[in-house]
Amino acid sequence: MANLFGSLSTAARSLDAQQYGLDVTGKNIANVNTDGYTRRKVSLTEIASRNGASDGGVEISGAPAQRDAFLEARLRAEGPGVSLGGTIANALSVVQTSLGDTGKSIDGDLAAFFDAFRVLSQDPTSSVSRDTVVSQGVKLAKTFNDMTTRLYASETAADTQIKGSITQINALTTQIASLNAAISGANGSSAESLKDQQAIAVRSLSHLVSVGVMQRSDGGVDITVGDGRALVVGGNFYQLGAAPTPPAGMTAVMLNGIDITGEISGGQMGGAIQVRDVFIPKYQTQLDQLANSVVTQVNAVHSTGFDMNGLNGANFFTPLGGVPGSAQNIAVDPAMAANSNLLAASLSGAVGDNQIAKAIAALADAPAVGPAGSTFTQAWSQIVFQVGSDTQNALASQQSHQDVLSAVQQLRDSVSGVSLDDEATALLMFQRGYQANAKFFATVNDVIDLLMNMVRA
Amino acid sequence: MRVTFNAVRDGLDAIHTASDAYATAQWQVASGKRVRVASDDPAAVQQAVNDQNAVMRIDGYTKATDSANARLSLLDSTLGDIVTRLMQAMTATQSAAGDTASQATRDADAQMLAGLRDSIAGDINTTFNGRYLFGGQQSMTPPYAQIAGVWTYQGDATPVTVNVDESRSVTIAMDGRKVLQGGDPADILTTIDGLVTAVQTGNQAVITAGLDALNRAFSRAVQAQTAVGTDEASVTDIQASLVSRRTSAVSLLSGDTNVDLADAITRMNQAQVAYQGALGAVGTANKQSLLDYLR
Repeated sequence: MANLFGSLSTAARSLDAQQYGLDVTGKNIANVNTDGYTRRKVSLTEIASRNGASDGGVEISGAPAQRDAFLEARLRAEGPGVSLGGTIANALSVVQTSLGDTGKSIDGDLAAFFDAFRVLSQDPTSSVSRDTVVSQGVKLAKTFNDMTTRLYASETAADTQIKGSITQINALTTQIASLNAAISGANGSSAESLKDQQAIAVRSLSHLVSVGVMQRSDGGVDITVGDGRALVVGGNFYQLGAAPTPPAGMTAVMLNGIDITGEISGGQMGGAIQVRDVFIPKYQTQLDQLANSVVTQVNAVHSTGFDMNGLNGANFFTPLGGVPGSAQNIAVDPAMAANSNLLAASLSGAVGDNQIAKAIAALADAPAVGPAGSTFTQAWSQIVFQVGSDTQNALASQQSHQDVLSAVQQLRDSVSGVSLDDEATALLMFQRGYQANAKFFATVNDVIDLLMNMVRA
Repeated sequence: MRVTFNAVRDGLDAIHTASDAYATAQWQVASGKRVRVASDDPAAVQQAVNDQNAVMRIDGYTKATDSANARLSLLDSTLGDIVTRLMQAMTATQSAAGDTASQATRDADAQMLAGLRDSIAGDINTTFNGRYLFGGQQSMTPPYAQIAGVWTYQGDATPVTVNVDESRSVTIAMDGRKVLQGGDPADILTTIDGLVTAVQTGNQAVITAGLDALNRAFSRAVQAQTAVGTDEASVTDIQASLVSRRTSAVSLLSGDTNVDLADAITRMNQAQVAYQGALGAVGTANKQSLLDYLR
């Protein structure tokens, strides 16, 4: 059977519980805008009565964080996709801008170059027309060179991004390992806070690179990268390294002395690797093929002609060693650039013959590039399309992952996020609980006073 | 489902999306373009590159036709001069033919023939921008010159043609010997030289042969002028065709990347409303929670 002092004790415990509730609610409200914060929900338990007596009251069983492991995993899973698409889209946006406007880039220079030969064909002996052909050739070569420089700059920027990602990943894995150690030795609210930090760190990591995450029984997480290579195991972490590789000195991602660049997928680093190793080399190869075709085709016709001195035509462009590096190395033959009389417009050797000039001008419309036989302009338009299409795909992929991420984020928030409406209700609830218990405490206290006074009387 | 409101994330996302759409629509209206970068519509940009090239190619051919036209006009008028002078030479020769012409008449006719010969020689050595039009590919050398008292053709037999369209070319420098000599044993300048002497001396056999040669030269010159006239007519047709093709190519190019202004303005207005709505919605929602109602 309950006694008055027991009731006082019950009221006191309940006051503690309501105060604890207010404290947790206050923390939730304080963290309403804290990224990664998981709301805490006060858990109160009735104290079981002893020997059938109902004097137990309430006790605080904790304030567990409201986490949904599945949603947290989905959030982590979408992160690499968003960052991958974003990184590729950002890098390719720069590339597509550097391609120049329609008619004012390589396509315009190609048209002007072949048009100069067309004008020359109207008067093969004109020094003005000859100089124009040479200067248009120099301009075309320069545009190819500049385009290669810009592509290389984008490649280098992606490489720098990879190096930066390595540094960030190492910092995060260090932090996660440290959190793992702390979580395994912590309990209660401090463990929940550490787990929030851990979730944020893992999520940040998954934006940098696609990782595998395995939950440990002690609350920590093990992290793997690539083909299941360990980055974090409990309190231990393994640092990524950056090693320059020949010939251009681009960065290889190393882990425990092994090059894992090819295993990296997803995230900012995966995107940067794709930009550097897949996209830009693809565009560079297409550009090289185009430049090589221009040089080969023009030289092939030009060398069959005769210059103004009646001598056999030399090469208009300096011959190239092969397709790779063509766009970077294309240049008008130095002797030709210095003396436009070396330009061969004549097939017969007669100074007024324009057949070579006409033949070179006609190359503009000839199927000259690749097995499909594209014209030079078509080949350029294919490069533009490729860059635009790849950028568009990356943007679409980023948007698609972002949409899923937002939806999952909302689901996660519906479980773990702080709702001010909820907290206001809880505030009211614990306030009322506290007021009622205080009243109960005062009442019991009055009754005890009354009894004590009766005894004194 | 519990609904939480993250003003920073959800609100900003909504505002960014709406403002991006608004900025895009605004740019389209201001620039008149639908496509800013290749990724906006890769296929349209690829088509635009090819259509732009078509426009530039047409512009190139237009310049070529203008240049060719100037040369053809000069060729035409020069050949017209030659035809006229050959007719005058025939008239002068006929005047001296027979027994009725006095010595004074024959002397005057001879003098006239000598003048016409010099005129024809001048015509055949006509230049355009310093380049000879009747020397075939030998554009830097006078086609006809008197070397050691003998009229000598210094050009060659290969005409110079230029392309004025993908599959059409016109002759801008021709073989002068084909006009002045053709299949005859001597060119018309040499023939007129002989006629000058024959007219002075009354050598009827030479005069008769000379008249025949002048006739043949006249036919060749008329034939050459007709060919030039045909080329001129072609160039005129091609110029008209190039104008219409350019209009069509520019229209295609415009369709690739230009914006439908009415549509763009409508979308800009919609985007503006959406943007204002996003700002308002975030502002309103951020102010409301149960906490505002608790006292």
